[in-house]
Amino acid sequence: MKGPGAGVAAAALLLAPMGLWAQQPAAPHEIHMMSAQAEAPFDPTGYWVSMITHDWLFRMVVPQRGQYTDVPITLKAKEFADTWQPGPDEAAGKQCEAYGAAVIMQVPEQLHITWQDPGTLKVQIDAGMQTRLLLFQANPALAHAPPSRQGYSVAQWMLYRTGQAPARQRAIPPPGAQQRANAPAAPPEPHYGWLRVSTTDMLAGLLRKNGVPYSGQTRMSENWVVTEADGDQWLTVTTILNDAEYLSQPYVENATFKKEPNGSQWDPTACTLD
Amino acid sequence: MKERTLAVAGLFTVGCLLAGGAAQAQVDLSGNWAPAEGFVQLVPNGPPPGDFLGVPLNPDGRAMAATADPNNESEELNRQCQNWLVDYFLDGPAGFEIRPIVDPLDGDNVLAWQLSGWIDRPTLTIWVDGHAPPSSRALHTWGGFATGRWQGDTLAVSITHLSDGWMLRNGAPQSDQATVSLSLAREGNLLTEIFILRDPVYLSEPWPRAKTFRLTDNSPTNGTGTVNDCLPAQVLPGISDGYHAARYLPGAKDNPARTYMAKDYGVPQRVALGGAQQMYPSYQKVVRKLYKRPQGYCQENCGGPRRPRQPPARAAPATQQQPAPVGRAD
Repeated sequence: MKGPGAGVAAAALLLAPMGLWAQQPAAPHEIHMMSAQAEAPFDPTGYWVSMITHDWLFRMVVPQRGQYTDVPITLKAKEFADTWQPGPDEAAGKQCEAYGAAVIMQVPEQLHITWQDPGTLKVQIDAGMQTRLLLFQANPALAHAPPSRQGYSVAQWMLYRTGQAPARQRAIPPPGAQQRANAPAAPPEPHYGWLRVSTTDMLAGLLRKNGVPYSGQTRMSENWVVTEADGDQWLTVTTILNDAEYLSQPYVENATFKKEPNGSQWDPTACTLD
Repeated sequence: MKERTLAVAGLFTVGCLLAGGAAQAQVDLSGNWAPAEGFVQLVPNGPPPGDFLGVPLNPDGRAMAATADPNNESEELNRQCQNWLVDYFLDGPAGFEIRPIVDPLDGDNVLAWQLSGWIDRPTLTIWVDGHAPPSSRALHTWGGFATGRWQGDTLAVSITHLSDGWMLRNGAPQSDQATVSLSLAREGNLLTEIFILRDPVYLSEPWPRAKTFRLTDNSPTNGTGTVNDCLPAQVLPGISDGYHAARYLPGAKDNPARTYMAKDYGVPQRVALGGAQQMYPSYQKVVRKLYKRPQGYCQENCGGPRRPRQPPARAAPATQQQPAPVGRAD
């Protein structure tokens, strides 16, 4: 998808309930009076280091040719990967194909997250020196831009209002009741929530450095959750990719990051296919 | 009759709407949950022998992992009928079911959430009613003791009193001093587990992992039941002579963990045995010098779709009709 449809598509993807398995819609509490920065339920800013505790053999090193375990690729994707060679891509300066939005959270890396403005989160990544912009408000200039490596990302806080919490655990409501009954007259201050990000308009790229592809039609939904345990802060990003061309079903992956005290480990490096 | 039905439906709807405010106090976790992610299975029955990559094992943990032989665990009497630990709710290939335990005197009050499923894993009961923790000397079990509190729509769980066992099926050890911080975050029909394991005996740092599950109508047990009905009669025949242990001697040449990762995946054993530094991106510079990418095309346990079977080539018309075969070909 290109140009004018980008914003609409990303927004539609955002509002669609993650777009798979007939997921019931969540209950977004849209607040337009406050800026995204002001209503943030957690502080995403700072330095975060990725923890490579799963798929180590596919993330830290380049897997063997033909090793596609864990990715629900189509036959067309397999044929692409089987014949893919890194040489021409490197010669053509395409190393950053393995650092596109669809896979960038899986790359071993550090994130440096800042507010570019009160409605835009800037996510800088040292590996491949990439930058993602998560837009809480439509940006016509970016929405009309041609597809890019990091695509067009629309973000929304999914907020939980503590003011609606009763004093104790309650029984389970019938399905759908939760969605039908919210929107109180005077919304109390939220304290909890997560970030939902939807990304479209990506250039085609590689899910793995052994040639597993994703197409330019890929749509990506992400949930960003921050949790705390025993003094450490953890950011978990759940990524769901839908790609009718190269994926036979939604591809779900998680990436875990640990909050760093500072940027002393920040190490910008160029894209590489090895 | 029709009017009555409509009235009941209307009352039900109003009830649902009135209940809605309270409903936001917690998220309904109940249901059957299946893994939404692909299950990485490079060899049947779990991670390859000797693959502890990205596990922050300390020297003791590495020593134990290097000599483990979990396939022979029943050779040790105290490990017969041993369940997997709660880690298996994250790492196992199957899903699980979650059900609320409701106060029998006040049906509105949820006391706990219970995770169960499959026959070889424990039930995990997460108390959310302010249950007092047991004594530090209380019995440690495969399911441990878990308490939870809601942080918005995420259930933050603390698990203690676990018994020792395997944190990975290929023999990564877990001690009875291990604790778990578990977060259950439901987003629509997806449930993400954020599982942070701490083990002062075998790990040098917390080990964070995450996995996402999707709501499904299918039972995670697939009809096999949820009770581990392990009986001596089932296990005793597996004991060979009573002199074996679920462990190789250090340096034993028949231990597949010595060479498997180097031969099949190009990772030297000293790397494959894990360590905290392997969790961090900076280790990539180290491993690039040690890794020897396997040459050729992956031949086994490689994933990917299978090519559609080609229809059999039509045989040329026979000049003479052959008689049909009679009976089984074998």
